[in-house]
Amino acid sequence: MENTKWSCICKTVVGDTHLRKGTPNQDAEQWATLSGEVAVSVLAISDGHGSERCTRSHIGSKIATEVAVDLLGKFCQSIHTRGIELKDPKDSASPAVLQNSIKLGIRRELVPAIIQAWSRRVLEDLQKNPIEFELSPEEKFLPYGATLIAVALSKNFGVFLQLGDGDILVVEEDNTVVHLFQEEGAKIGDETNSLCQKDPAKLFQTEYQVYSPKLNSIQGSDPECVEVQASTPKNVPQKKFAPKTILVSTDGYSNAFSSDESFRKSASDFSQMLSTEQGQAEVQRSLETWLREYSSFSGDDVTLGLLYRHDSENAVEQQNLPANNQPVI
Amino acid sequence: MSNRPGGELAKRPLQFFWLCDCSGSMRGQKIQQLNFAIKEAIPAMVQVANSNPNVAVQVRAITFSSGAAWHIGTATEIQNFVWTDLTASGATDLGKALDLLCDALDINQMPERGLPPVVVLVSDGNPTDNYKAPFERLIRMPWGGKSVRISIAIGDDADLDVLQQFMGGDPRENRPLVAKNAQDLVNYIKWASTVPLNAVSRPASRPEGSSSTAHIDIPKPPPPTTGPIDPSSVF
Repeated sequence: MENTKWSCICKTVVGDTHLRKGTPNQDAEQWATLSGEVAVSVLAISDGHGSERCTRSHIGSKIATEVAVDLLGKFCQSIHTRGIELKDPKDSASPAVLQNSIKLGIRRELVPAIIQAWSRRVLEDLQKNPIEFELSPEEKFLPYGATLIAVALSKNFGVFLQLGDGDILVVEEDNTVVHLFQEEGAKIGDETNSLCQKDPAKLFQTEYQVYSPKLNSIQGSDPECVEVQASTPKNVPQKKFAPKTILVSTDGYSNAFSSDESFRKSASDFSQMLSTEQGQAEVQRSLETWLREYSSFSGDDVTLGLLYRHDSENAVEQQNLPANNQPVI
Repeated sequence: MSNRPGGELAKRPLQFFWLCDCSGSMRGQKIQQLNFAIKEAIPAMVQVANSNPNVAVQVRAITFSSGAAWHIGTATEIQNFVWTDLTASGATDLGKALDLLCDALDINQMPERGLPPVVVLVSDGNPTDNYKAPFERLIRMPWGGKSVRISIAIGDDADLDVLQQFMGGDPRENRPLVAKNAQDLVNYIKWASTVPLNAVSRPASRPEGSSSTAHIDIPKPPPPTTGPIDPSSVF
């Protein structure tokens, strides 16, 4: 299990409604595998709003995925350094201190850095190509409005970020499907939180998970604390297995299903397929066709990313790496 | 058999509601013209639905006079929708109609993954019951607040303030449509039953709170009828 790796398949298709209106795909996707001290796979997807005044949301979503993959990747690689700096072998509280440091780092460093980088790139684009209609100062980012979902996974931990609509489904080792941020993210109609809103940092939802070398996952805990915590009933965290597959999607995907049950079933089905080389090949081969079928029901652009774990003995080397997705670090 | 992952796929449901005033003042030409206008609009609604194959347009109708009732209570796909003529008598209990609408828009009654509902209110008078509390209830409901609400006044006696309140939004941009004659009514009913429907059927997400006045971009309604008008068709 030491050679646990994550692979990714990700595609996006323009929505049926957008095809009829002649508008571009406003979703974007980007992923990278970063080597180094900590090997990390990072995936980001974004849904540009596409409403009347969000005329450049396809650019906003592309910028969002680029800065998220870059900065989330760098942040994850810094986690190792944080561990060395903070860990005092004599202090039994160190793992908790490390956990808190990382959680605080996500909210206080990573999220603001993503927003800052996105805003800077948007302003650069605006300077090069001034907008064709009047905007009040507080609306300057509106034409580029977009959501963001980003996931980073190593063999030891996972970082999850979400701003606005879209979904993250985590398929656990026992095939149960967990819908991350479901309650907080539930919205009615087509309004969503967005990078273009005032103070979007407070609208981000974040999660940090630690995976043990045995692939047992203790959410928000450290693998070295498992036994200590297990012997302290008040502090026993809920044990669960590490994820097998993580599905991330823009809302054009979930809106295609007749029910939440049908939607969640798709994550189990994908996970099942991705557990074999034959299934991985079929997903690679058929994903675009399936996405077009989903889009014919939701009418919207559909972006779907699948991160799946495989171990060295049945590893699929980087055959799944899309040609246009190169590591950014 | 397809290996496509996931369960059943479905078009996104779009609920459309007519709220029709059937009070005594609507008796005669007004109710006849309203029945005619709605029947005229149905083929155009079918056309809009067919041009948005990812959407299932489902129509219902509430009438209000002395009390309120479901005229067509089953959400019926527009392709199968048949209008049954209304008759008029009694008071103008708009509040009771809004209560029925609120019950239908309850989050537990509405389909999952639905598009914002469209509600078209047609009236020629003043509410005779307490409409304010049901209206407050409506706009505070998750689906009520997101609904696209259009109001059409028939003749000059309708309470435009109430109809404006029902529509919400910026009164400089969203005004009730005032049908002063039969042709206006046909034009406005056709617009209200097709253009907002089309706009809602082609969803474009937007930042939350970006516009409190118009959460769906809806093209402007047609202007009132100009030119010679048959005096007998004036309301």
